[in-house]
Amino acid sequence: MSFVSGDDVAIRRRIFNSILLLCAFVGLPLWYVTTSVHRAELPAAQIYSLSSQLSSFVSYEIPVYVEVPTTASGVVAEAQQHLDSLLKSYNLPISWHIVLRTGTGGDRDYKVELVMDGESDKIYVSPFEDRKIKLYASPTVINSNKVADLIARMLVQDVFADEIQMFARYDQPASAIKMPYSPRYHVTLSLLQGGSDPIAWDIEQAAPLFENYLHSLSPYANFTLDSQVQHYNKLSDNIALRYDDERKAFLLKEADTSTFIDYSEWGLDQNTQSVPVINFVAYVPASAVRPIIIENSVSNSFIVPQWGGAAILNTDKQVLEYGDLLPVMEIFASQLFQLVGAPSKPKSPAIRTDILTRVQSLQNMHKSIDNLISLCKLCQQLPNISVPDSTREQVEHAIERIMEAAAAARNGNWALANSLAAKAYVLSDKAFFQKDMVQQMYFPEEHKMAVYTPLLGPFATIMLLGLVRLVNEERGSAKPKEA
Amino acid sequence: MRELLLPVLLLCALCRASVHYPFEELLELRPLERNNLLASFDFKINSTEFELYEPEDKTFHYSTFSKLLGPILQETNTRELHLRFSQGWYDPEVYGELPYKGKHSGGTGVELWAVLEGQNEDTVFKDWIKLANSLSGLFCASLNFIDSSSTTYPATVFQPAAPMLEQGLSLKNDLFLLRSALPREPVCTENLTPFLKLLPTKGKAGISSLLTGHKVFNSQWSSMSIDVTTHCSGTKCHYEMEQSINLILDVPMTLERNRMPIPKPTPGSELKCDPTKPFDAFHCFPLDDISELEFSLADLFGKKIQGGALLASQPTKICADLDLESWSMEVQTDSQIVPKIEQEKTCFVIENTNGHDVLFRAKDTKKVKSLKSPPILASRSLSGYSQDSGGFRIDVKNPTDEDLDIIIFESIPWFVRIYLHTLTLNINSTVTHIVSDPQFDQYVKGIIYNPAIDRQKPSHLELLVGIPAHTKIKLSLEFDKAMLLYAEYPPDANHGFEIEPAVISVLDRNSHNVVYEMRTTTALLTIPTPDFSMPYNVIILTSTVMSLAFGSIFNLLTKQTVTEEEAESRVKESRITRLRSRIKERVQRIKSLFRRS
Repeated sequence: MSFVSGDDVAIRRRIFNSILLLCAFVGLPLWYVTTSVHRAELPAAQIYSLSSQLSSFVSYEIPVYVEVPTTASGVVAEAQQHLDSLLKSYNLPISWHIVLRTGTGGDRDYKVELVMDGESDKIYVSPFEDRKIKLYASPTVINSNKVADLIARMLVQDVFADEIQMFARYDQPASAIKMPYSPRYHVTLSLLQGGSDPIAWDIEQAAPLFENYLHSLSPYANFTLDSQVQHYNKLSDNIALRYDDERKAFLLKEADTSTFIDYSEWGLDQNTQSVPVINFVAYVPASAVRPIIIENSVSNSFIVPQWGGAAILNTDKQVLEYGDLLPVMEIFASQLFQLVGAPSKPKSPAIRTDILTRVQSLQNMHKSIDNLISLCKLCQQLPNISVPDSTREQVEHAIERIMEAAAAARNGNWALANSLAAKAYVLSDKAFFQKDMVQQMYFPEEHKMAVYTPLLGPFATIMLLGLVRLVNEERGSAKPKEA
Repeated sequence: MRELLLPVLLLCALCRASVHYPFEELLELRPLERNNLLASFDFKINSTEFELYEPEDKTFHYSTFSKLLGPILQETNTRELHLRFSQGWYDPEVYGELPYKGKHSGGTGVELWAVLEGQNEDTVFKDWIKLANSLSGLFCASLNFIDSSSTTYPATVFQPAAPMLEQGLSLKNDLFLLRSALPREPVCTENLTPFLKLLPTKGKAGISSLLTGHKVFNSQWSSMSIDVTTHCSGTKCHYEMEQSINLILDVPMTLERNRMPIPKPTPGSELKCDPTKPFDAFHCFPLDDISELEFSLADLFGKKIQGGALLASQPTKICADLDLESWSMEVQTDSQIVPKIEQEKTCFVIENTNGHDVLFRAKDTKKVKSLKSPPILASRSLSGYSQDSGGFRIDVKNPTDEDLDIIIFESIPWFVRIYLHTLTLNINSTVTHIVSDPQFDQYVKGIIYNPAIDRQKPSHLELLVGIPAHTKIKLSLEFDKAMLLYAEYPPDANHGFEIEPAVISVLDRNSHNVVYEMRTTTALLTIPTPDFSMPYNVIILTSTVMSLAFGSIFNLLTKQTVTEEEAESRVKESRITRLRSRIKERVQRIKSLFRRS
């Protein structure tokens, strides 16, 4: 005997199905969307391909103008051949070439001037802004027709030797001394008196000298300068000075230079500026411990890696004049070049800055791609981390800047390439250290399940029981028909 | 005249170094009633000259003016900066009027106001936030919590102190005055250390060598202040900075702490009993007022003065304002120094690097120079006890013989919703006027009120009140307490919310300049705090209700409806009924078996 009509069961089955569908296709997605964290899609594939192809689409071509007598015009073409074969042997990871051109070249171009009547083969690089290289060829070279070979060798092994080396290991970590790259730096010159005697310096006169050096580094980064005078900067107690009777001076061990500067006591650890600061300290010891001489140091100075430089000034003058400050400024300038990672050769600050700018632009591109890859990996590894849209935008902008920088480098506009690459680096850094990403989520995934169990549990149970009942009824309604 | 000057110059060259920086320091000591001592440290520093509108990459040379502060001011276009760190309660009845007429004293916690130059309110506000964040890092204070919801633009008080930029220099942009206070901030040693670092002597020499955290903050009341003003003549400008620390020390207590860092009860043999009351071996009313004292600066501050500040333009000066009948002062150093009397104060200067100490002897400490009583006495309290509303009550008393004009400045957080129409005035506890009364305007001559915007702006209230001589007025105001969002409650929300002190300024009746300034205490307001597990509970409870509703509706829709007879017949047919009857049968059978045996 049956109480269930087939129609009745069918209607209820339809009701059940529609509720099930509603739950599955509206309820669950709605719940998931409203309780999950937002994750913007990062262009991971593009970043990985960029990383693998960086060395192929960045290329540097450095034009060098060679001034030769019209009779020897073939020399340039010959030298170019020598150059190419020489460079090939270095097997550089990216494409880097010197292109020789005949002519006098502009103000800012590299110019090689051949001097045929030299006594021996030598090279002279002008220390001024004009990027002029004088090449003296000895008669033996001229007679044996090896001028082209000499040009090629001098350029590769002398003028651009450091650049080739720097490019060869551009993806390796920089030296421990070098300040981390930033598009802006602030330089502080400090005159510190170890004791209580008042001291003053004629920095208004001496500062322009230092500003010139900063200006020559402007394609690499922007530098601002200020100075200060401070007193009562006592040496810390752990510095053991040894009095040397012979030299009538206090000797400072080389190993002690690392602890010589008492950052917190001397107030040099605080930086209220938003840019990295390079500190240069001229330290005048208190009269009780004067003079101090650093062992094995000719200039009585030392570099503090990634922080700045210091020079000890043993003077009892109350006012330091321009003449007293000149050698100090020279020391600081050479320390500055070391701190920004400039090559030691050639002598010309302009060429050194050029080299630094070119290498830095590639390094910045490389580092920003590294940052982006780390970001992608981080997002893959932490499925719960939120990725805001601003991060995606920054990543996209960073990629754009890298492409533009690469194009600028190909066109020989290295200062622009460097500034664009630096922008890319800053953007990629911002994307990686996005505040919203590291923020603690409202509640973690496990908590989410725990909190919503009172909702999901009963729903699921009710539906399941309903299903069981419906199946039973189906059977029940099917049986009587047979009977 | 020239011939006379020359030897003086020569003499000076011999006695003092020739390099001097624009820096001056002065320490003033003044015994107060009940064995208290006021110590005022004052430092004046000038910066080197600069031009107001210079390109960003212009080189700036710092000497005595700290390089830590300079770039912050330059970057944020700050023309005037005032910063206060205070702790403790200033009791005007015991301590008299505030040092420097309240010019350098702040309310409990941290207070910051500044004059910034900028094109419009938005850019200035950005600079202001940048300034607060930079100072927060510099002074290790939570100034970074300053935002628009705690910033006011005062209209009549806190006006620029320096007549800056009047001298022929036209400003490119407008000046804005912004102010904020953090009454909750505990002022501590970590604020003093950066304060000392700003000094050219860095706390190593001069009077600043006396300042150490555990002594300064063991005082009854202390206030540190920094005021930077810009002064221009022509196109050349310079900053003038005044740093000062004012302390009130309870001398016997400080000496006692030196003797016994952990307080112990006085042994019976040392106990002085009140002779006017009965005393024997077991009973004693201790006589706590000490009238004879002998103490030195080293006793009070733990250190001697480590020599003078040689780089200063004026030698380090120390003065004491003593009643010479019962007090004497002796300078202890290598050489003989006899203090001189200058303007009724006993003063001496330090011109070498030797340690100096000052010994004070008092025959009768009750005899001190008469205190100047403050021109105004004021206090503020909270009224009401309910969870959702309350009231402020400000009592102001004019003890002087003259009528006074005062300004009461209040900045009240947005979650305290004040109702200005409830403002009532009570005079000498007799007459009461509400805000709409015509008599009310005789006393309250002006009201500046900027209502709060939730989460964006505090209520800003300035009342210009005239108080007749020897009159006490009471102003009361009612408010509602708003509910905060879950995330807006600070940690330890049950502690309550500090409402920053009201600032009361006494105006000169003619020039309308502020002649005296004082602050009331911080008010601690409790706001209904939720149970912080609430969101979880709400989610769980809602989920349960929803699933209950769903369950009943679902069952209603999918369960079969049958008549009662049908149900009964079905029950008979169901497996469970059959099973039950079968079990019953078995039980019956077993029972009958037992019965048989």
